[in-house]
Amino acid sequence: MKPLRTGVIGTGSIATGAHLPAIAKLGGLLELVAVADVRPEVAAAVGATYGVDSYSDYRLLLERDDIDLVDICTPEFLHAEQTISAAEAGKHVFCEKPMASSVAEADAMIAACAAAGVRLMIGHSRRFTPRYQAMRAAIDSGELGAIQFVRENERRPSAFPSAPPDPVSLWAPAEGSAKPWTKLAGFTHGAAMTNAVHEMDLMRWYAGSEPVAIYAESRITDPEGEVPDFLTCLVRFANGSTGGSEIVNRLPPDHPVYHMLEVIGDSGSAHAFDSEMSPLSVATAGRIEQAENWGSLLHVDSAYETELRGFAESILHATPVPMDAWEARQALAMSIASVLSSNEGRWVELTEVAPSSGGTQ
Amino acid sequence: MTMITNPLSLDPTFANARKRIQRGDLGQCLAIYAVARAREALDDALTTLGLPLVQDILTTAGESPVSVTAVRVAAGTGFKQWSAIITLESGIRLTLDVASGLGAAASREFDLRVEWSGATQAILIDPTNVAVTVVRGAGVRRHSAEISPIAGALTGFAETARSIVAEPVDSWRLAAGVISAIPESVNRGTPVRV
Repeated sequence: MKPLRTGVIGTGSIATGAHLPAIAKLGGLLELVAVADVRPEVAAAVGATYGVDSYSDYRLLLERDDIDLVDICTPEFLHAEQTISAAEAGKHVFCEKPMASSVAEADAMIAACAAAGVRLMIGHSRRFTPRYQAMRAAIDSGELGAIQFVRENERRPSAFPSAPPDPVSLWAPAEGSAKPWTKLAGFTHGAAMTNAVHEMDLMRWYAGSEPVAIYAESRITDPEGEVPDFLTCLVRFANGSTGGSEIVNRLPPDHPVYHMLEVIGDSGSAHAFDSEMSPLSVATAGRIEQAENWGSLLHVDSAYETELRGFAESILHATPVPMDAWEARQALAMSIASVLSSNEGRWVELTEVAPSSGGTQ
Repeated sequence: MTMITNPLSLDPTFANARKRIQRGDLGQCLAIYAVARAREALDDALTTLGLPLVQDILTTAGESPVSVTAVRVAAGTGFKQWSAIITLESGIRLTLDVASGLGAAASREFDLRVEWSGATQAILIDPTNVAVTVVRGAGVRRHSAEISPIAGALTGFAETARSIVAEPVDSWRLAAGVISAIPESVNRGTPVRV
């Protein structure tokens, strides 16, 4: 069976740090043939690194008949346009999270891929890390009983979102601007989209139920910030369980990325704290350190490899995708609801932001 | 004026953290997360565990609460948990989980942690994490090695805590307001001003 010929759209930090290395490891399933980025010099440099063609206009990449699959690694406000264009060009789409900027866009992406007969999967990489899969296995085994509560807290050092020193990491809308798109109000909602969408997905996945309502409060703690870097939320699920998540994105620059996941059932519980989970934790007298922030918890290489392998195999063997796009749509809806809740200071019903439309791809 | 001593104020971990926080070690305080959970089902866990915890945090932070939003979950096994978001006067949020009756779901007899996130430092208070863990074929057993178990101090304070919530005294008034607002928020399904 021939590998799927693959194009990568967007060659910022998530592409160069995670997706491209994963594709390179999946030689029998995926073959990288082209990359695209609006910054011509960045596209050319990445293309040269991997020995493939490069484009500054993604539409030129989509015009190629020899590309089967595109991996979209651009900011979320571009996901719908690029996914729909790719679907119309007959390409299968793997798209980085969050799925889109709105639930309407997410629904349009699902509809376009269904109409074109191509596969769509959103890269919720956390689900594919061994520790989160082990947590899910504990739930599926039944030993925890009925799930009552899920907490997933995440804390990042302030340097994390914008620290990569090389200029190719994050696209900045204004030439020469020190602020990448991840910090600008016109391009993102901040913590709700950057990382809370992961927490939303995990809470829903582990609760085993659809969310009914969300209450959230957020803050901009950075004096120079435009978008919230802090968010705390509560979730009520249809099965009666509840969830909670606290995101802090401005810890000291040298602080390790910290995660705390707890799932409490009526007959058992499972806990994963970062110092116990991280494969790169180094314990010394009186202190536990993670050797690397980027490589430790959030971006375990195997997660990207696993999710891309699963997607490629689902196409090649005509089996279901490992994570239905509908699930990413629901996680996005939770994040959007948290933004609305935080803005309006009230509980937000999910149906307010995501009209119920059951079913899957 | 009635003076009632918070049992947590006597605990060396809390005292040490308070000293560091009040001298400014956190830098800008970004957020506070606190959790207290007991394996045993307590009559009024929210008051027994929550009141001393909230009072210690408000005193340490030098903050007043503004509003409370909460959810509650309960199972037939006796498990009950309240989760709350408490907005403080400066805009800092305290996120709180208080539970009891975990039974077999409890990884330890009592779990108490406060995590202060700051722009200069993060401070974790984890006084019950003093234990000997034994791993063998039958599973993992954890034996507490606390000299003065903090769980005992809190359950011994339960009756006093209930009387404080019923009739708040000066240094406890703000915390008592938070504890009273939690079930009110759950019942109303809205944020409650304190």
